[in-house]
Amino acid sequence: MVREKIQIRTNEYAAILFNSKINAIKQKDILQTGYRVYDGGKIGLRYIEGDADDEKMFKEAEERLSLGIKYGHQPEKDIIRSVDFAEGLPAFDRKEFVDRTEVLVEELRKELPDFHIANGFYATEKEYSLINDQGLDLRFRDRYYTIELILYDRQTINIFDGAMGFRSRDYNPEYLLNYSRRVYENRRNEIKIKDGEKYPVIVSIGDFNNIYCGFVNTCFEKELNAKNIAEGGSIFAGKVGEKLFSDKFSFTQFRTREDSIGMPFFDAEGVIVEGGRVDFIKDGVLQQPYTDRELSKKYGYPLTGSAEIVPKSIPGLVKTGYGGIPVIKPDGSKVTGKLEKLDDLLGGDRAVFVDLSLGGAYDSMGGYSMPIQRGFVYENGEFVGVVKELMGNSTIADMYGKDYRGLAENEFMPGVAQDLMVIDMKLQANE
Amino acid sequence: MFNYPKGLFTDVRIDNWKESVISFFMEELTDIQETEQVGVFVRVYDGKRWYWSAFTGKDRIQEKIDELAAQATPDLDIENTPVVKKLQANKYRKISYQDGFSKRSIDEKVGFLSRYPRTYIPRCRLLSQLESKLFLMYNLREFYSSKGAELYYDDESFSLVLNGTFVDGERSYMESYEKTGHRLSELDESVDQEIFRRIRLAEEYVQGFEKIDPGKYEVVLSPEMTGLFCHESVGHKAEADFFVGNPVVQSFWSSGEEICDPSLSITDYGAVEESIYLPFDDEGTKCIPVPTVDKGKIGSLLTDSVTAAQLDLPMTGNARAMDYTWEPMVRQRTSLMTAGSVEKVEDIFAGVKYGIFCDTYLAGAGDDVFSMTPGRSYLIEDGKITKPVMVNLIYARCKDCLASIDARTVETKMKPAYYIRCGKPPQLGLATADGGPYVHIRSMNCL
Repeated sequence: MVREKIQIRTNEYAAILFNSKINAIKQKDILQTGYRVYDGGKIGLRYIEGDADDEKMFKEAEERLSLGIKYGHQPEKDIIRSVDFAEGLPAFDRKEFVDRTEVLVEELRKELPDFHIANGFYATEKEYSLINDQGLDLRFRDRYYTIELILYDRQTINIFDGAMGFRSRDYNPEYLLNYSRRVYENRRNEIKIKDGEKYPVIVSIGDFNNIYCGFVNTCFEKELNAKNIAEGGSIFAGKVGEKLFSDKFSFTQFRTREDSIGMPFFDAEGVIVEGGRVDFIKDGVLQQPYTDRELSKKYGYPLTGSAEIVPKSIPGLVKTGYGGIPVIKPDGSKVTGKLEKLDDLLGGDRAVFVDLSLGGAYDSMGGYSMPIQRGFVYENGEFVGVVKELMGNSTIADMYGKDYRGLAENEFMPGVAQDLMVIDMKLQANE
Repeated sequence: MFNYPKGLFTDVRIDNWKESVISFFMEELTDIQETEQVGVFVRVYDGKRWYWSAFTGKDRIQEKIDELAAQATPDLDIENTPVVKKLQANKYRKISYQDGFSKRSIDEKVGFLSRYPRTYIPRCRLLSQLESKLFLMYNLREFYSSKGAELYYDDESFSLVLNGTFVDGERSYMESYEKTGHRLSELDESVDQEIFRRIRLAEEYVQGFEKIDPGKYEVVLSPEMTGLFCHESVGHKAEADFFVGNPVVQSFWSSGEEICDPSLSITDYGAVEESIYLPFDDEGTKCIPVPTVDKGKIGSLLTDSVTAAQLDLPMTGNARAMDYTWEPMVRQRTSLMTAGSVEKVEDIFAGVKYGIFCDTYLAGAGDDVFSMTPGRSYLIEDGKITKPVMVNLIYARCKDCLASIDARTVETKMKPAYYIRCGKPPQLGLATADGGPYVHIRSMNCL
């Protein structure tokens, strides 16, 4: 019998905005612990939030072995590794964080008086550990800042009108000022584009500008899942090794300090991918689906260490939580490729920069729609105006294939997973 | 109970939460999540700023109150600040579910769910994957405030979710079914009948659906879709936090303006026993029904204490948090559209020359241009359903769409949704409920 404990401690300190002022200071201190017992191909699990008596919880996990939940893999053993991505960062100072945020918010308020700005500035420290009684001892720590702001235009009838945000280990809220000065400069100059025409659309690969079910890149959770690829529930079924997309398009899982934040170097099963990188799509070619131990063994695909760490869940890819809000998965994955200059990718063409997309859908035949709540018209290096709500319409095959122009560095809002995709897409007015 | 600091408002929300989530993939038990926690959210307010703390364990409450108070600036007239004046001091004590899920063994809970995959899988021809989940949720809520609130009550709910992936050649389709309730005895024969009906429809659908040509169509919504419409179009529109500091929205969505058929109302309810039962919200405010569309006119707004104070509106009991780690914000509860006068949905179909019937949904997003992602949908030609179609997205402007509703059935249904939840930044997973009749909409954009 093997006993294993998986733990996440989250400490968060945040300044929360409402109507462009700091309305609240929030602190969060949460400890989540999963107690696992493995025996004879079965697993028993207990979970608790807060402090607990380890012995009691392991005993209760043992009792649950009789439920017969199968886990036909040997837990990892004899690995001791500790990684601290926060090492070398300056100590977090609450007062300095709030003071600096307050100054920034005041400047932002002056810069965008016609907007009501809400949501928050978060300073987060996360510690992960996975320890068992056969010599496995994995520990990970990271500390980072997340800024997620929603903008409400005081001159429109919309609910949401814009978004700004980034995640970084350095606290540089001044990026927001640069973004608002550059991107929002001509926000009152309404421009009409040709309804039903294709335009290059500039959209962030992450979810800060595609919030609230922004569907950009969320299709890969379903389509790259090994089970779906093997059993026919994916449009990529039977296509491993085939060239499906543009040479410039890659989709990769990262566990490296440079390319991921807050993601431990091991997964829920203790799998460590050496080098911290797995390519699912490389230069347009479907390389492999994402797997956990079970799917890797069952279907013969390489083990990609993609089992999300959810201490209350049996280790593996099995999704047991609530449904509804699509997210980019597997954890730590993002669109990659050679970074080019935005203006080179556009070649002087008029483009629409997605400041906020809201909702949308991709369907089981690969159809894709993206409601653009606020788009800025970008031309020859400048944001020249704003467009009213638009509907982008494409297919997964086209948007990452023939209509994919490439990936540009996000000079307007730096941060991890913030690069900009340029995709030709048919745009329609929402009238 | 607690030593509340002088010159500050303090409230303490305690969730004594127990949850079991049991999952089967096909006929194999794949996961059991059992959560048991005492989660606490403490708020301290000094008249200018809130100080919040989320943590576990009742033994730390006083320590946290004191820690937050040390950051605040006391105001001896705190009781007369607009926000604190709005906050209520209700007292309520009721325990209803002592004999509920928590008394059942985990084996019993597993047994409840195991019969579903065992019953259905052998009878499905095109089913490639079936996820079955049973969520059993119990919460004993305690709420105390320096103003004198004392709430102590419990609630218990279950949600049975079946997600079936049906595959026919290169076509695949996922049908999702959810049944919610408060007692497991509600999982009766009618549930089996409905699941069999859904399986039959899904198998027919996956064999024949075709993509529609994008354009404007007449649309008929099922009660489930009508509920989503209420939530995404009007419901979010009526959330008061979007009105603060925005005179354009205030004038555009102004109470009393005639916008649709005078027999049509949409109401957001709190304390509906058969739905997500909310006698009080997460600020301790008594939940009252709010007509967001009132007999064809724009109705009232949904509020929390901050928005009620800033906009001088009544407290409605719409301050809700996703869980103990989150602060309350303005959210919907159970949003329902009133019934109409058309006897049968077939009578609505009969009047449609060329349109689309959307029976189920996958997702939705609210804004002035709101959008919904339909699941199983059908083409209507010359008054009859003729073939299954895939619709990627339907969307319209809120007022235009309300104005173009010209028929509603007598029959209504309500759908509490614990599985597919409402997302409003930054809290992307709150259970809400909605429903209504079958409705006919003269025109919507369809992709």
